[in-house]
Amino acid sequence: MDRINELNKLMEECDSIPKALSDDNIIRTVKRRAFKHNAAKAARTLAGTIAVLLIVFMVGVNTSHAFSKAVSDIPVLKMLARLVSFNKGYTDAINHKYVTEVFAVGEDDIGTIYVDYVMADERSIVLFSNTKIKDKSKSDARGYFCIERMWDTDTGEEIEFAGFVSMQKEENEEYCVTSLAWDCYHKNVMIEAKYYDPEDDSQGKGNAVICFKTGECLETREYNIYELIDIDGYKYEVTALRMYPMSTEIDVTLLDDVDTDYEQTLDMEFYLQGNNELRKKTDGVTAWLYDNGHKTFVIESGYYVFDDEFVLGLERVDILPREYREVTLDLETGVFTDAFGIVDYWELYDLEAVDGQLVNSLCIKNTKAEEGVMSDFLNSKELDAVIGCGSATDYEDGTVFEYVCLDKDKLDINDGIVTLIRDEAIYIKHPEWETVIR
Amino acid sequence: MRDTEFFEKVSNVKNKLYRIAYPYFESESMAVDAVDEAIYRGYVKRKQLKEPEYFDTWMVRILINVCNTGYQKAKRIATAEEVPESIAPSDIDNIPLREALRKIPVKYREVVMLKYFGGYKVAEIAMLINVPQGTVATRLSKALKLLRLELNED
Repeated sequence: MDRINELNKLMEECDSIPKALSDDNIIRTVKRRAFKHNAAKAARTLAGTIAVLLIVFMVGVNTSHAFSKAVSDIPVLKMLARLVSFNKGYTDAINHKYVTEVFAVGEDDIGTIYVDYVMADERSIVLFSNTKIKDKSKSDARGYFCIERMWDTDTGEEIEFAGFVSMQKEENEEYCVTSLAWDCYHKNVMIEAKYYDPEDDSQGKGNAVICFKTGECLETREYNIYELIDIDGYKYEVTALRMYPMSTEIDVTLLDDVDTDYEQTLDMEFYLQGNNELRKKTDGVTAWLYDNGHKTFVIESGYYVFDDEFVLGLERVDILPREYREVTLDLETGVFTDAFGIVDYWELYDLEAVDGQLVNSLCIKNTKAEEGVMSDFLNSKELDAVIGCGSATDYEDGTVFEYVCLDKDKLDINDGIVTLIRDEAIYIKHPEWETVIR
Repeated sequence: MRDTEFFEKVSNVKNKLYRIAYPYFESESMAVDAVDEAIYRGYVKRKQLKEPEYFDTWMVRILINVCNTGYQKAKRIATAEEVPESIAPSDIDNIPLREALRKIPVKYREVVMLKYFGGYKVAEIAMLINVPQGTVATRLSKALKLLRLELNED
């Protein structure tokens, strides 16, 4: 066959598009990966805050008369409040009976899903559900239903959402709590869920559909702010605060990072201070609101915490200046370097290298990483290469450190030099900025 | 860009993405993986695309990056060897075109893929891979000579 014929044949083969690239398959594959990515991100943040929030919740029960009375009078609300104790905004909403009885049922070949209670506002929907699997041999397995898609049944439009899509409840709990962020409030909702078996790596099975009403949604309270903050030359504009029943959003423009390909401000920690209450930020499922230079931070408190006047404050800002981003590792010397010299708190950990060549993986130990915070000191490009991470203790001095191990095939290595992109703060500022919101 | 708009645009460009990816790899499934990966990366970054009219170009650019890096990995698995730039056309005369395409240097391969499988013109390829038009034309000419393909370069 001559070259032209070969080329024509190859081009003909390309015209036959595989079924795997059907529109439905693409949407499901991409959305599932995005959910998993968001869930992993949210889990990293929540893991560090849940323990603290549980303590705060217990203090609330013991000291707030109104709170403890409401939950003790109504056993169901008490139980629901306990299930969402990881989020004070949700807890407050339940305390004020901002929850709708649904008792909707969806069934397919695999099992039955019961959605008994729902809370919904303009930003979030929280489902309290239970599942029963028909195949008794699977009842002890850790398989679970996941929410695949959601529609507004009034308009027929598919609803965009993000968050933990699993409907898997903890052992000995009455309900699974599925908390999702969505783009706006929807009154009549239909959910499609599929069953995932961890021992079977194929796509989800079954197709359980549940329809329900989400109850009345309270209006959004919006406050325009427009305050400039200057933190050692880094400039920010706080533009708006929106309060929903279950959460509060704060819009901030990172003036130095607008329309750049990289944000130097990694994180900001706002708080709301009322007469007797202090509420701090939460994170996770709002990552989809992200746009370079414009951030929306979420604080887990809504309508029910503050009265007419409260304080919005900024407690902490984490900054990684542009010039500090790149860190290189010389595999011959094992030394990490950035633009300003040796990065002495990054060390090689269990290095598998032979003659300056990595064998399987590169493990990095970060002695400055905060304990309990997952090894998040590399950016998402490197996180794709992560094959293991965690905390460990130095046997010699007893200090705890974070480490991360990376797949060498996914790293940028040239002439024995590994280039890494860091994602940890160089400066942590405490600006003590506050403004009164009326 | 909203989800629905993103997936509508993906639906229009996916065939072109597959046609570009297919010759890069030894199998249909690897080409599908590459297209899936490119679409996922596009989805995650969709809010960074300021001008939606460049959506197709933007997706093809992402795909080229995926194919080039994916190809590097696939190459290690298959232990295929890319020929050095100084190679003479006679060195790949006796191998099938699909194999020859994988053996020529990446910079030559990508212009062939974009021109004959993606259907782009030289000026468009220049914009896609961010090099001058003259460089594209030179690479294309060299690639065709290496592949013994007597085609009109325009």
